Amino acid sequence: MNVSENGAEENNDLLIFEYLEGDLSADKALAFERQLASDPALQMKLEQWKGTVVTQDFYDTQHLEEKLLQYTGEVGKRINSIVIGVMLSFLCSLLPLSLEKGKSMPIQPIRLPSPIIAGSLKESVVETNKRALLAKAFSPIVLPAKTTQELITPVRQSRKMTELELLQPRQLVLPVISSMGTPNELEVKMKVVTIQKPLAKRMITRKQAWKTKRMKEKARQQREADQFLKGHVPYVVPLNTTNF
Amino acid sequence: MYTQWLRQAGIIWTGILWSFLSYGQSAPVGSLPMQYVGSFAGEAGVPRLSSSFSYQNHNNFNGRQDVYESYLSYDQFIPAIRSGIGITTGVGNNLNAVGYNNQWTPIYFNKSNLYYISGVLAPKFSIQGKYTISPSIDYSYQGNSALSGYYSRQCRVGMLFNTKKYYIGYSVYLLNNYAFKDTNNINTKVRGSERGHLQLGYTFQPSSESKFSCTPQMAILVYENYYDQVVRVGIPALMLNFRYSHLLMGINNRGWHFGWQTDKVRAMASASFGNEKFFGNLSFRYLIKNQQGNKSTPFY
Repeated sequence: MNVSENGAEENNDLLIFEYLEGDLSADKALAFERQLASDPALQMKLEQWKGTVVTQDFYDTQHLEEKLLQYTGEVGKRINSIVIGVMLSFLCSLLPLSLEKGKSMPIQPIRLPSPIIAGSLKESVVETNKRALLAKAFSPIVLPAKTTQELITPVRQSRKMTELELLQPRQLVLPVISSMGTPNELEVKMKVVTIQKPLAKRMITRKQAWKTKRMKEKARQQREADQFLKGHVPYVVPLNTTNF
Repeated sequence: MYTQWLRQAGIIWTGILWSFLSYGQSAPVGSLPMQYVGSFAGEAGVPRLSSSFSYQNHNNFNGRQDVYESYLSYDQFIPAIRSGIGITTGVGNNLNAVGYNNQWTPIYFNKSNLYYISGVLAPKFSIQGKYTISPSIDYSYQGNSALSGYYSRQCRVGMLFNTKKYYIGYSVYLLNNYAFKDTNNINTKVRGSERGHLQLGYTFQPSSESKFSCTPQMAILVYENYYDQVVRVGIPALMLNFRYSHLLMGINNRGWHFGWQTDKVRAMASASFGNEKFFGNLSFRYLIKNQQGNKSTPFY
């Protein structure tokens, strides 16, 4: 690789860097994109540069995934226990019936109230009392009215969910199950918890860091030169007064 | 790799400086910006105030008395004329040799008082906002209050090329005369031996945000020897400066130095000790950077 190729490569690097930083003017950015469309090598280089871009505010995805997996596991365990509990209770509810069947007890026919015979007032009063007792004993169970949706929806899906708050960067949603009850009463609240874990640092080699630093320095110098060309700078480049 | 190179450069420079320490006669490089090359006037882009105070105690070696020199300089860049202007004033003592031994070594001296004033004009031209080229012309006058009829007039032209990291400046004497009355009270003019100065400096800093930097600077004097009329080269001033954050430490032609430097202020003390003499120097620099100044020089 000769000197001119080196220079061209450095210019491309600088151009890509400024493009990614958003420092290019609209005209330059357009020209760069045109060049990019026709140059596969440049596209590859741009992808490489994109891989080296490190931004400070990013989601800690690894930690988030771990937390979400943990959450799924916990809820899964809870749901499993709930299902098992429901099944057991269902089986238990079937148990007395089977015992009664085992005893082969004869089913007592329900005595229907006999018609009131005129002239037998005393007997009719007794019969009336019997009818009242029977009516009370066999009165239908009054259940709360259910909507069609509730009737259609399976029990386990009828949780009440609170609305999610707007997520901020580096915040994670963790579930908090308020109480253990029947599936109908199960209410899962979502709570926003801020993670205190420090930002994960991207692993880059020393050479990459040096190259990035060098490119940033060049970009800074170029910005200064652009400022000069725009007429924002007077006619002197001072020595670095922190060193001289 | 970079650190190793720095270490090697530091060792070489330290060796050179040690060999020249005993010849230190001037203020450290940069403490008086326009001392060797006038083109430094206005180079900072903002008003700059510099001062230097030097003291020498020869411990009465060969009849030499203790002397001092004090200088104050001010320079600034004027955008309206795209030029820097500067002025330097100074007072001090001078030792005049009045007696010699058999080997023509001066052994008797008279102490006299000197005063000094100079003015500089230095236009500035920037190349794409990265480099500055600055020609300059300066004129200085030096008088002696004790010697009647004595004066020195010097006029120099100079050129400076600099970036933020390094500079190279050169100045040539157009006029360099000393006038005095000889023993017969006759006005006599003598041409000074100095012909020009070359001043160089470079700062090694990994990046502009780095806390550490290493800055060697030197001034080279081109002069004509009185006795053999041969043009020779000397090194009147050297400095190797190491900076960590705001702390300065290093070595210069005045000895070891330490100090404090920010982008506005630099305070530095230098000293060297020996059996026959003590050299000490205090220098101070202040850059007057206000909001308006920063706007006019956004490179800061």
